[in-house]
Amino acid sequence: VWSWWEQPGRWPAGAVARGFLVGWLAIGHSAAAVAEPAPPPLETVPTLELESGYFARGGPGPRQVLTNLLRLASQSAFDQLTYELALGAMALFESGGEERRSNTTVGLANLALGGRYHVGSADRLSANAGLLFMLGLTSIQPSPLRRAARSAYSHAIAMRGAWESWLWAPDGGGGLVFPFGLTHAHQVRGWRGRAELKGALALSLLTDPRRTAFGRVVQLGLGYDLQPRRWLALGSELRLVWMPTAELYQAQGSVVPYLWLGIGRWRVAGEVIVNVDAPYGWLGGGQRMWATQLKLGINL
Amino acid sequence: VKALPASLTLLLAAAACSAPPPSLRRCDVRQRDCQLDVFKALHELRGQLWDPWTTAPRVLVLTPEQYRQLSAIELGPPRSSGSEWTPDLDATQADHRWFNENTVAAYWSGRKLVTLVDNQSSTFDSAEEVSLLVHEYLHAAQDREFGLRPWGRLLTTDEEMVRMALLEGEARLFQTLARLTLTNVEATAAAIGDQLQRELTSVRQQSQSAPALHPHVRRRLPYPIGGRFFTDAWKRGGSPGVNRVFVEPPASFAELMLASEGLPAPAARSPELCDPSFADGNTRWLDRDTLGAGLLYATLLALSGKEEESWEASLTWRKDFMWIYEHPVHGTVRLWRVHAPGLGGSRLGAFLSGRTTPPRLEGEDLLYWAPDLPDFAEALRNSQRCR
Repeated sequence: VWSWWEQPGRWPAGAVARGFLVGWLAIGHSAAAVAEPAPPPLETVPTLELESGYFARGGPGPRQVLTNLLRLASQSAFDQLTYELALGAMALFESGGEERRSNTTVGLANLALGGRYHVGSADRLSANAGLLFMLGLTSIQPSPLRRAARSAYSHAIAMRGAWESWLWAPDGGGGLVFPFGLTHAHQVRGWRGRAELKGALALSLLTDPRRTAFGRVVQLGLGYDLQPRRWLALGSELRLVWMPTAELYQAQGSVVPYLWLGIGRWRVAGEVIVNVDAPYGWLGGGQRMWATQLKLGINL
Repeated sequence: VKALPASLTLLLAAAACSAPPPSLRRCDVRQRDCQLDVFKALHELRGQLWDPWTTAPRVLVLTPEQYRQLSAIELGPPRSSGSEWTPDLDATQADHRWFNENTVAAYWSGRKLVTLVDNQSSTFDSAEEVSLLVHEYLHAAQDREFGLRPWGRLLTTDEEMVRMALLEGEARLFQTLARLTLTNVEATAAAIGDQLQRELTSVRQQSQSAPALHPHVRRRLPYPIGGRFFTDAWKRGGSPGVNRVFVEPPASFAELMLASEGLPAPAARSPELCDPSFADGNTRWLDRDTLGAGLLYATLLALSGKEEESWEASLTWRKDFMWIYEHPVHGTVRLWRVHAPGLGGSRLGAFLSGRTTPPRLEGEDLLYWAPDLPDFAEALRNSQRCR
């Protein structure tokens, strides 16, 4: 984790834009060498996908947060088995007071690596289950910098409705994640409809009593989307994350409307994550956090 | 699909009518619900988000006797310093007595516990008590974030006073902010600064009659001094400005005292001071410490009895060392050299230069040696600045 202060001035919009561009250009560069084949179904998990989240708040304590996750998925020699890797980084830009001097905190996400086994048919009913190993990269020794880092990671967690919170859990530590999914595809008046149930159980390992570990996390998402065209999908997902080891709040609900666009091998997706209830949502005195996510993926 | 617009409208309507994020309210701090509300509200005050895995420390209400028992178990010996001017007590005893007589609430890092002392007159739902809990919960946050030992090494007395000023100062800032909010006073930086300036004036006035001056200065002065410093940092830079103080802390307590007067930190670095050398070779080195401007103020006040003059003179502090030795005949030997350019020109300059016994002003340095023997005075004079 790194943190630094800048002289009074405007928001570091340039830094934000650069954060988006660097990852996207990397994907574009990878894709440039690939010949254009037939486009895969929209719901196919891209081989390489960059997921950029953004949140901004004004008022007396203005801040902007940018999260970037790079996800890699690869087919194994067996069709049913896929491997996946997620690594990421976030940046928190804060300012305040009369001088509006800004502080920037940048840190890595925890790394998740594992695989999934798929059964069924993508045209009808399919299911998957897997195992991910989580490697803690967010840990930071007790120091004044840790305060800014914890605040930054809290923002990253809140921006995603605590979904996959193990990726941003401060104090790192190892963990195991058991993801699963169930999808049903069907026709609705000539449009393709898709219902999806997905979830995960995460367990932290090797907890250090001097630090906070995420303990156990259970997440469930129920989504539905319609595809009026092969290249367009519009849907929404209801998410619930249960954190039984937390004291103040043990659950977070969120709604995530999304739009997918397929352009050849590319998939562009936009999401708005709206937290519903406390701690991060609008209802019950929550902290009113939301975020937008833009995803750019390619099937190689 | 048809239900989607209706659902979204309903959701937006619910959001519009929803309760705002938690703000401070008066409640009985003995109740767990109240404690959790205060804990959540503190996150809002600090511009932070709730971390799902943090816990609000338990709060226990103790009688003064129970508190004395707990503090006797928990308080470790402080670094020895300056206690030669409180001849009735050593520093540890003086600090324990001070804690027992002056503490109304405490956060115990080892136990992750907050204790409030029930002084019979306590009303547990007052603005004072709620803001006191804010103060202690802020220490819990500091503990979680950097372990209350942000520099992770043995500190000199001066550094310890800086550390205390930072920990207590930040807590004082948010305690004052909370108290003003709870009493429906607009909590501006100016209003908080005024409150803390009044507290600083009061602590300085009490110094003149404090039964144990050094513990009083060491333990009480960092609160308003640190509070003033953080209020300025908060005014200039908001929450990031407050955090920045911990990353780039003041170099000395003098810097904090100067800031409380609206004066900048000294620009020039002070020269290093070299250890004294003894001709006889029998003197064994025990310890070295830097006492800082805070204890220079206490020392000058104890000597002169003039508070304002002592305060003004202590602002000239730039560097000091106290060396402690063991002598086979004379026992513990203390030598103290304070580099304070401008002390001679202060209102206490003539008084200090004219003294026949230590401490005495010689050039730009104040020299103190005990026992008052020529060999020790000579050894101290030989501790010239390193070249």
